Amino acid sequence: MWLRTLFLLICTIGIPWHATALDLELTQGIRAALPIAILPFAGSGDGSSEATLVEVIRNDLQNSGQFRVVSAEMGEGYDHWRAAGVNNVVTGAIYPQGNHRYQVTFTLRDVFGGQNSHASPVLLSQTFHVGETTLRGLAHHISDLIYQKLTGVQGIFSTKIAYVLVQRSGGKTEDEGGSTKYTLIVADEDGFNPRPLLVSHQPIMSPSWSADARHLAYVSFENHRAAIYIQDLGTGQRRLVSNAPGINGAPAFSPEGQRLALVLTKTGNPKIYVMNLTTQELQEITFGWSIDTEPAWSPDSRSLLFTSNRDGNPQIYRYSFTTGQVSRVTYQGDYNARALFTPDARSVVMMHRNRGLFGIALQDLASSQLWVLAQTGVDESPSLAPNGKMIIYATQYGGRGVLAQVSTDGQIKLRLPAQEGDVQEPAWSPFMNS
Amino acid sequence: MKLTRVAVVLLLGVSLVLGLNACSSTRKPSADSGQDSAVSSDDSSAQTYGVGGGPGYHGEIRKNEYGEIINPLVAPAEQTYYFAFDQSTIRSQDIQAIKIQADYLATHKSAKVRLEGNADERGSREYNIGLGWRRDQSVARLLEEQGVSPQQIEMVSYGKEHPAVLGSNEEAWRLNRRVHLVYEAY
Repeated sequence: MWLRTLFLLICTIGIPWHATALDLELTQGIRAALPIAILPFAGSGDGSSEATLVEVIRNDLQNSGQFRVVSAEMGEGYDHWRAAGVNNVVTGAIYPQGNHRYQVTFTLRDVFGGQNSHASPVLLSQTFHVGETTLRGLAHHISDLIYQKLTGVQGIFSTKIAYVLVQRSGGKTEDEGGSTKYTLIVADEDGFNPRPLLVSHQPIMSPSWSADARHLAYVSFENHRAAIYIQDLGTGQRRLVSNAPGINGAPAFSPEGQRLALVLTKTGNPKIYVMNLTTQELQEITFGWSIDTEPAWSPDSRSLLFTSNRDGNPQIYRYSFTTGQVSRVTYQGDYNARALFTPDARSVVMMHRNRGLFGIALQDLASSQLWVLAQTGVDESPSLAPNGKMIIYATQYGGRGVLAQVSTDGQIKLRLPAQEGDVQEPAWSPFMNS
Repeated sequence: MKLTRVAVVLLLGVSLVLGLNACSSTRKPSADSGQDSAVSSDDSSAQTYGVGGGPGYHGEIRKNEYGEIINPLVAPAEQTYYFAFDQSTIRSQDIQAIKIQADYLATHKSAKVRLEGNADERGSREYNIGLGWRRDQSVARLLEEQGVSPQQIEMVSYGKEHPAVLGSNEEAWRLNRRVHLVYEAY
């Protein structure tokens, strides 16, 4: 066991990784996007760190779909930006302080709020001292501050995504003589800094974040057996939490972090269980002959959504811990699966099929009204940003498995083309407490 | 081309297995059991054996006109059983092949098999794990009805994670809905 863990850890170190494995591509933004200008930062360095900062902030805001980043230069003045219809301007400066450390300042102004052409009200102004390696992280943090100030919603630019990368040598399956490499990866929300957590020649599935964003639970099929592990993202150490005979699947951390919902076949049928992570004690939640899977916790931990074929086709059901009762949630479409609550618990996001096409849909729980947000035919595995604004999901583009995003109002669409292999099973992290 | 490649892989796979068992070459294709289908019986009647290899079937992997692997009617031998869309019912033409493996397992209590259930690529990943599991259970039930002990059967479902062939078309889907029977011990 220890040797195996060590081996896997070593595996993860020696692999060359590109700076970015995924590139965000805005394919549809909202028409009423807020126009904002981000000026080149002043500085006394070689210019590369200034460029990085500004580029990251521009990309973050542009790719949020809620901003239209206008190109702007120093010295154009507020009259110019007002005439150009720019609402807000960001200025900043970065100064090297030696020893690879920097002082960074930025200011966000409201262009239309000023009384004269030389001054505009300051909405935000802050100074930071950071090391070189955290410049990208600081840029995301500044994007979060700007986003929250102007939209009133917490930004997600400092969050992460986990996903599984599948690489088949020669594009062949094992049965065709190829070999397949599965890598569990955690990257920044914009696709940068991909870090491998686990490399295997057997499938890896269903990454699930703990509420503190410090651990990932996942399913791994090492030695031809399904098992659920929880891995510490800081140390890379992992522990085996379930390797019962049969299915060990669909792990989901409870919001308070003490429990893990999972799927086991102890009775022969795939059923939902809840494991107390301290005592390892198991409680069976669903019963009967049906396939029950894909548990997802409500934000208040009092109920679980799950997929079941108890009425024939897969549909979404809700289990209440308070009453112990199960109620059916979805009726539209002949296939609904992999559901999750939005952070306000008012809606459910899921995989939805109608007329043979798989898409991503959102259903309002009070009215039962359903909206199809994306439907290329092969959309799957939706995961929600912690602010509830965007859904990341897996789809296919150009014959490859790629990730895409759609806003929960359906207006904003992004694609994250991968440089290699097939990317699947994205899991958006909770907010990071840095 | 493709066939040869698959054959090489199968031979490699089988030759990795250790141990020796005399029964492997004595069992003949059963002539007395009712043949359910021309596909599985006629095409499977000829076997070849490796020279000096370990136990298990060492013959060439063969496929029928639909690209499906033809199960050798000898035991112990790796097997592939295919399933209809959204179904976990064993096809009638596979029953004889399963019974031949069951006979071997029932008379060799230290022998063990692993059933690997698989689904096509449509639908959610974890739900497909459930579908592959149902197919495992169908094969296991038939084996157990023939006297195989549950302790001799290990089951894993790969859902749609382990396709036999790539592609988003009816043919790929048909070939991916399968249970692979692999010997872990003879």
